[in-house]
Amino acid sequence: MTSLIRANFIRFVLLIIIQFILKGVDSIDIYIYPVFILLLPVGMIDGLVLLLAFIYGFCIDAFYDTPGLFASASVAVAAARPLVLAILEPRGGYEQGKAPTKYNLGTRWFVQYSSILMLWHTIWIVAIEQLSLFSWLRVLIWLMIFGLSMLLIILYQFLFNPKE
Amino acid sequence: MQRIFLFFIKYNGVFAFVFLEVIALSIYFTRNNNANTQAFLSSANGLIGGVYESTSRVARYWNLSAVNDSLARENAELKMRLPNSKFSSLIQSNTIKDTTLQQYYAYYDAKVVNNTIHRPRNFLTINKGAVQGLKANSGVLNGNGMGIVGVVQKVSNNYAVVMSILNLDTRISAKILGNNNFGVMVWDGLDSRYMNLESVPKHATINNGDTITTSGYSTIFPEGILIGTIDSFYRPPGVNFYSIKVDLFNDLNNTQYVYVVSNLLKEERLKLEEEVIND
Repeated sequence: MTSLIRANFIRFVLLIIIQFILKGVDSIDIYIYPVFILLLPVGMIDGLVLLLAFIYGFCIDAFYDTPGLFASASVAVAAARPLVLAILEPRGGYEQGKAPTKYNLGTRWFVQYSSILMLWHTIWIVAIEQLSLFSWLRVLIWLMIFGLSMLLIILYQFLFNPKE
Repeated sequence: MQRIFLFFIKYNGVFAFVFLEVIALSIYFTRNNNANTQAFLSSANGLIGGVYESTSRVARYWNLSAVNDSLARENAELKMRLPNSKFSSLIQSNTIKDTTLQQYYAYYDAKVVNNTIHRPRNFLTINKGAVQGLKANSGVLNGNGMGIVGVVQKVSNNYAVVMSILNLDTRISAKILGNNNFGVMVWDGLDSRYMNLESVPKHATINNGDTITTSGYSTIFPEGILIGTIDSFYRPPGVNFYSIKVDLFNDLNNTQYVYVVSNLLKEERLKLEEEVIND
């Protein structure tokens, strides 16, 4: 238990430092910091994972001058984590309290796990950063169009109940 | 009561997700109008400003020779402007001391300690702040005299955060030298070498290669600071304005020394303009 906390604390500090060095790379953003969230032990309470991710994201934000951006992205990754863990669950289930690492679960499993979550992270960052509040309103309108259309399509089935 | 409690425990992840995401996103989308969050989180924050300063010290060392060259060139240029380097063609030798001129703009020099150019909203941190006399909403000029860098957004005691011209939120009043048609400089978030000049009406005559300078209509920049030249332009259908692509004089990627210019009569002017709007 103590070694688990120590390992995660060291990872917390180390990854912020590495991310800070990577920030110096011009013209492209490379992210390594989500590794901390990926490697939190399985079976941890969801709320605690999310809270840790939120605090951690704010530390990254302080360096990037983007209050809230990386906090929201890491909370999004932490929220998707249990879903991805459930999808990729091995036959015997997970060992509770173990970190989901390559060492514990194999290379193939880890590549699948990390690539799904990092893809989600990239989509989140790009969507939040590129879209201004105005374009988010437009996205909301699209969602509303989709929702209303779906409502009519379902209503049609209930009204006419076509057999063929 | 117990069932409500259990419900919250069971779905703690969902509640935490919604709660934290609302906090994070509301901070992110209100970052420009909320001064407190920005002061707390930005690199004007003492600790992170210090980290940036020490790392940029290393980078500065490698660029010393290039900086020396540009400083020497600027020195030479300034020396040429000194009164004793000008030949006086005045015949009368007795002159009158001029007390009618009032200082209009104050200039401060500063070093860039943090800079990005490839994000959609870029900021710089410079190593001068409120103690040295900097104020928010001052213009920032490039150190070698060509081009503008941004607008001071927030100052702490010893640091200031500058909203780069390479920022989707930047609006800078500019005009075309020669025919004095004015417009607004904006950045589209794509290429750090180009900005766009908007709101120039289609009846104006413009040519490729025309020089763009600041207009002096805002209280931020003095008039006539060189910004760039027109790279290309076209007339988009259905709009009464040109779409002009401006090739910037300065490369924001290697900006190390900047001048902050603050308008000393700003308050007076803004107060007057506000009174008219309120009437």
